[in-house]
Amino acid sequence: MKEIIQFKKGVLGLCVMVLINQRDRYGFELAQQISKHVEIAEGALYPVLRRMVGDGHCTTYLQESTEGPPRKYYKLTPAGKAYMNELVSEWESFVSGVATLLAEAVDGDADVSSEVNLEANP
Amino acid sequence: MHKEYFLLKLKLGLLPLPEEDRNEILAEYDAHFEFGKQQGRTEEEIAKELGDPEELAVELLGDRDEKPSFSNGPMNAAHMNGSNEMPPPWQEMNHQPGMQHGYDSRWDNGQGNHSMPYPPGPEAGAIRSRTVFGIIGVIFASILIVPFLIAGWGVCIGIGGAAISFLVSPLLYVVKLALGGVFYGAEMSLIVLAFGIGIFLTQVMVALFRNYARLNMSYIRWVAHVGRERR
Repeated sequence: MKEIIQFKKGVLGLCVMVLINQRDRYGFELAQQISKHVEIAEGALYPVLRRMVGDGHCTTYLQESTEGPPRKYYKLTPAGKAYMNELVSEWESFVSGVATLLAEAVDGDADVSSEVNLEANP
Repeated sequence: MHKEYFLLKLKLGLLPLPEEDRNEILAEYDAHFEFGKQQGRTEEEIAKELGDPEELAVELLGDRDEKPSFSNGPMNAAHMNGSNEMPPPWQEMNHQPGMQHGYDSRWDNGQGNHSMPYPPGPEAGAIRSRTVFGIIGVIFASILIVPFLIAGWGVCIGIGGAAISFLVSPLLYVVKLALGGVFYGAEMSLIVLAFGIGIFLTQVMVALFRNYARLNMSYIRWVAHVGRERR
């Protein structure tokens, strides 16, 4: 269970950055977009956003809305965009790496040769 | 969980943060509730989707560990670096207070870095917030329980006093007669009756005192235990 929470949390920043990269969004909107695809505690989004602001990956601005409280929009900075690209490519190699690992583990269950193979090209 | 309760729990968890940062975070969650309600969801549903406020507080406190850097690997790797990388406090002065649209100075303009000079690290934060909750819980429970305990002792003392006065009433009657009081048969039988009740009350008292003392002890032990367990 802990692993599931951890890797969901880990990828949350990536999801947020990609969404903000499309257009500026506010916290609640981000939460809705993400929870449409990934089941996650929406509250965990705000610590991530805060950290991104602290790291200079995004900035915020307020926009009044006709109903409800003003919306705090998040905007990706150039540094944030560069970091996002880095994360995306990192993510893709990570996912394909794990997928390969899983496939091999299923194929050669307890097969020593595949484990050696895996260690040879990580 | 209602919005107010959620925000209160979050606030308690965020007590180590400076007030400005704390209010800013709370305002953001507050707004989240408002947006959710606009979409016709109840406060309970929204709170459930947000997750456990205590855990969120721990997460938010953990943020203070990181200094701004543009690439330190995957985002969550930053969680791992402990407090050994802390910059000295005087390097963290690029904080800008929020000045926004007159809505509420709780909002931040997004540029400020809110790193704290001496963060305890995520783990220490977790333990500390639990301690705070434990202690606050004990305080609130005690506010409720202690008056009842004191009232109970009052009842005990009252019954004890009655028992003693009933027991000594024959003695006092004898004194009264010795001082030249007039003897009435009815009075005499009342005194005898009072003495009987006194004996009865004494037995009740002993049992009551013993059990009540045990109850009080269990409360004291509970308080002491909570303190010890959380430390």
